[in-house]
Amino acid sequence: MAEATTVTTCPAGGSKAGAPASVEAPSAVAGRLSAPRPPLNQTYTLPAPIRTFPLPTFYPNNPISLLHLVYAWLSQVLRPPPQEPSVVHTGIWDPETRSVHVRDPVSVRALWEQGFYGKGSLSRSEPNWLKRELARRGSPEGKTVSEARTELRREERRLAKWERAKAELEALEKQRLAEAASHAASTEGTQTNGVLDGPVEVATLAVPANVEPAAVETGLVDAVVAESAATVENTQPTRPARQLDGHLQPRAPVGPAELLALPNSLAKSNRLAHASLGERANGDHHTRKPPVGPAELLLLPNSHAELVSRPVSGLAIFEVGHSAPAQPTLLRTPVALGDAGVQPSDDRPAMNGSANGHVGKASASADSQQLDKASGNDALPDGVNGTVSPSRSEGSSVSTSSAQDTQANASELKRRKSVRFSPTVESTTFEHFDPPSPNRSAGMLSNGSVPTLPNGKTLLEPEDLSKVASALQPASSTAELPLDAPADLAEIENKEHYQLAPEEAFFLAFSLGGLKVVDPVTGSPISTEHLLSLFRSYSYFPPRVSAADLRPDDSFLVNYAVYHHFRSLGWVPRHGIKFGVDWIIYQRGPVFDHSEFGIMVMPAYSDAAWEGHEHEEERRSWSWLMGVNRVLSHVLKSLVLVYVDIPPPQVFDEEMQKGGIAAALKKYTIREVMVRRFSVNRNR
Amino acid sequence: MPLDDDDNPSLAPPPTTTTTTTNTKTPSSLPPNTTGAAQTTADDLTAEDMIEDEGAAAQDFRAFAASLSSSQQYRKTPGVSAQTIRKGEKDFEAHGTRAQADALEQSRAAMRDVLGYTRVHAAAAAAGGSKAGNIAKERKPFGWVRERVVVLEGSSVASQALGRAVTGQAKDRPARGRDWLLPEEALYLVERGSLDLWWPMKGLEEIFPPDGTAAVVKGEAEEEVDEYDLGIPLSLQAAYALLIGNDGERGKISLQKFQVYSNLKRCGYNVLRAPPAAKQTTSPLPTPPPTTLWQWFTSLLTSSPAPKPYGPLVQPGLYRSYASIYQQLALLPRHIPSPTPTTPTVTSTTDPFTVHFHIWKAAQKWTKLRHPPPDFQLAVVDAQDSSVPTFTEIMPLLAGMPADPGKAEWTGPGRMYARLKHGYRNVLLAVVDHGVINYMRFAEGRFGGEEVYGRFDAVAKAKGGKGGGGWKKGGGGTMDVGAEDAAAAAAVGAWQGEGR
Repeated sequence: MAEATTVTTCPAGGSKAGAPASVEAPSAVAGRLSAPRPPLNQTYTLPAPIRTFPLPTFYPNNPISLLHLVYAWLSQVLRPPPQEPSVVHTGIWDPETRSVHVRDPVSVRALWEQGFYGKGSLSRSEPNWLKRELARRGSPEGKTVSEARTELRREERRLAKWERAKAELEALEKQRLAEAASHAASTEGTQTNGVLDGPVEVATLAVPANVEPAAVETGLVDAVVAESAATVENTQPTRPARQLDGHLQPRAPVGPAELLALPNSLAKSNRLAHASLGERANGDHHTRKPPVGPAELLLLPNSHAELVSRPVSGLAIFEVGHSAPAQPTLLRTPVALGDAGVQPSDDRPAMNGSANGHVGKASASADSQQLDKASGNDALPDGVNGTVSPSRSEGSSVSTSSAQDTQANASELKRRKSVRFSPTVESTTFEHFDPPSPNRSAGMLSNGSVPTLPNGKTLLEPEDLSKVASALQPASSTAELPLDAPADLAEIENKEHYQLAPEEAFFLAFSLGGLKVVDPVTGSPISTEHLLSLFRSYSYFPPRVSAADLRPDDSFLVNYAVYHHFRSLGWVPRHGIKFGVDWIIYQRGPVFDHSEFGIMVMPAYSDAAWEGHEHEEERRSWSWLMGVNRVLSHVLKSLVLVYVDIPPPQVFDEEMQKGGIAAALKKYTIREVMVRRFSVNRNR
Repeated sequence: MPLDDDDNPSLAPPPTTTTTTTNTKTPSSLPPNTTGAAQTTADDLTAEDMIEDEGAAAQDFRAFAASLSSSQQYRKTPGVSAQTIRKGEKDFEAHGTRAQADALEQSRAAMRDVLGYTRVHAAAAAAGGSKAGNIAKERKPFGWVRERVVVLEGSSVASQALGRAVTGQAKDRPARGRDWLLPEEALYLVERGSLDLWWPMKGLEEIFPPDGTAAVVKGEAEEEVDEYDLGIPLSLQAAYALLIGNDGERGKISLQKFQVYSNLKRCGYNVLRAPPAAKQTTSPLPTPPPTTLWQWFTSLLTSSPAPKPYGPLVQPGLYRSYASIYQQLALLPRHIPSPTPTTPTVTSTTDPFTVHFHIWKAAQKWTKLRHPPPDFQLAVVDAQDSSVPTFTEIMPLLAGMPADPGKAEWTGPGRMYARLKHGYRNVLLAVVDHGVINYMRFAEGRFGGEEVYGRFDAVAKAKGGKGGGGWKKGGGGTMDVGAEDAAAAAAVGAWQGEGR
């Protein structure tokens, strides 16, 4: 919301004023983010969950080093350290998610830091949900989680883009003015023509836009309108705004996506109910795009006539959301709520010309009971009044009280009051030309000149607002944290568990012996042999119960062969579904470096003995390969096709009987093939 | 020299070629005048580079026209490369300024000029096309003699890069000593406008009389014999119909292969048809490298017992280095590429995945007879008929390639990524999908020879950790795991103070 609100608050032509205001927020965040962080090398010392005890180096020219060596050796002999792996972690097999869960926080950290096994169930990879939660509640620690950094980076990038677009636009504007000036010097008549052309064009375009709403938001129309509006602006500052108001009508919500996006639709109301106030302010801040398009940007200065009357609500929200820890909470919150809720449409009650807080007081007629009842209505697919005109959402305008109904019936054909059932008030009245969802249209920024209802009301009284606010208190904005933060921090229970993929769990159990997987029901440990057949059977869907159905080309076995191959070479393989591949491998780990390779597993059946057995070698199309390669090269990784030549069943079974899985795995052949595009233009 | 139809400014042949007495024009086999910046090697490509060259960059025809028309009308200036016409920002919408409109108009005019230039074909070579059934004897391994169906009428001096004289024929053979062209070579020349293709109406011996009679006949023939008696000229369509066919048809080439061939030629490469796959005698199984006495001795000492059937592979115990741990983890056989192919069974390549063309980068010295080993070897694959190669398809293909371990300076851990990405052997696949060619480079992976874990011990040592150094927990307020171990905790102490 930052961009939108700050832009709306800046006065006409003062687009420069908007920029510093929006820039200051991330810098404030960054200031708090700079918490001390231990060096990565200290945190992630061990590459595997096994410690080593290297003897000190002996330097012949330094006799003390000999003493050191002897001392270290003697101390290890006399008091030997525990046998490695000294710590055996415990994981719980979870058949539903086909993963192994680890709940002990010590084990979780150990598994993450010593080889990057598994991922946090509520995190991107490193289990830091608790940290993020603490950060969200205002604790200074936890600001350094990678998710927060990503957010910050994205924010900065967005601002930079916004700035760039603005600079480009200003340059264009300057050019245009210069050309207009030079042109005006040469011919007078054409210039008036040009000026007249603009509005006419806008008008003709705006009218079909009302009739055929689908055509409204095409870039062409925007561009033309913006352009002509700019032409007009030079001579008549007030006209283009009105034209643009006419033009930027919302389209009727006809498609399913639009219907779902309606303010009172089920999905949305659920989301609103769950979202806290602070989250909402932040969320809007992120979801709403900054006005980077030329059309939107041009809108901004033009709509100054309406915006002058607007209070600085946007700025207030901004401060509450980001950097106002010292504000008096109880006084602030209702106002902030009113601001946040009404803000998207607060230009409509601008006939009062006063602060937004007045909207709540205007003439409230509904209490919280009605709210409840109405929210029950809301669940119905159709509105109470079935006669809503097609250009409006039925779900979005549900009249609740009969008094309002009568009032509404009086002007049934023209307009209707409606109520939005959410903890925050998004809009109080709906017009024919209102956007189906206030967040969805750029027109809301310049709708200010629209006449409002004489009886425009909100249903929330200030008391309600404060009630809602207090209900949301624990999770609301950071402004109130200095008061109750310590109590909160102690109470947080870590809701996150750690999950290991079957390949990772099996590697830990079978190769390193550092993990013990227990049965979820009985709690008894599962032997490695049984674990193998469990993982193999669960690599099919539905799981194959009888061991006779398991084959040497189980996807678990094939994937484990690849996993083991790279792990045993020292790489850190992690699941690569996010990059469209089977595995990605890191040289040290995700916290140190980006992975350089994405791996696609290609099962192969080259052995002649496979002829007699049913198997299907997957034929992958070339477009598949190009697609994978394209995606990977966009994230600067190179593609590796890893062919796994699978032993035929006879050989596999024989080896399994002789030497178990350790012997059987030796029969899998792994060959890597590096694939990349070859550019004839760059190689000659 | 006027613009040719396939002229790439970067491939401009020097203007002196017009003065040659031959009536075949030299195909542009000469090195491109690419600027130094254009000489990006394949190994230093970033992904962005590879995406960038999709031709997506807008071509600025103004720059192009300006570079061409600097001195005279469209006289080529040296140093014009394909790079120079791809600069510039692209405007995605009209923003109503006159500057933009002017630029657009200028650009349009420039493009119109460039495209509207009248192309002049010099008097092209006359050549007869005929079935070359009578020169079936294959003498040289590179010959493809049976496939050569077009005889060049001009002197063979001009065609440095194309064609081949069939040697070792009897003296009375017709067209002895002439250059014979492969279908793709002939068609490429026809498309280029450098060759007139004729269909012979008379026997080959009449058109190209044997050596002894040539002088006699030539004296009177020049006035009397109408050239249309000997044959009829063929149109481009006819040439296509004559020379494009299915794989395996004699004297024809499949459309995909021709498309790849002409694309590569136009990009300035030197391309020759790869010799037919020699009957690969199943080489004796490569003997394992002999074990030295020392290796045998150490193997006695460190003979590791067979791993337990169900693990753990790492025996519980005290370890001094991670190398000893990871050596126990090695289970699956690792492929370490070596100069001699070590594939146990040398199977021959299957058809689409076999080398079709040998490719050389454009070089001054290259001739069709004397040239170094090819820079690239390429297989042409139809995207519709085939799929991503399977294990049995790609492995023999790669095994047949020469070893190419990359640059010599790629040593040490710092260049591991470069080594890995380059691979050990490589082959190009041209995937042709309805005429769109996508070149892919497949390289033999060498992960098996790179032991990443070798770094672990160096790191552990650098820590100077007595007793294995830290076992530390970062942030999060969790307890230090190593705290149970008093010795470790003492070593950790440095930053335990920060725990809260």
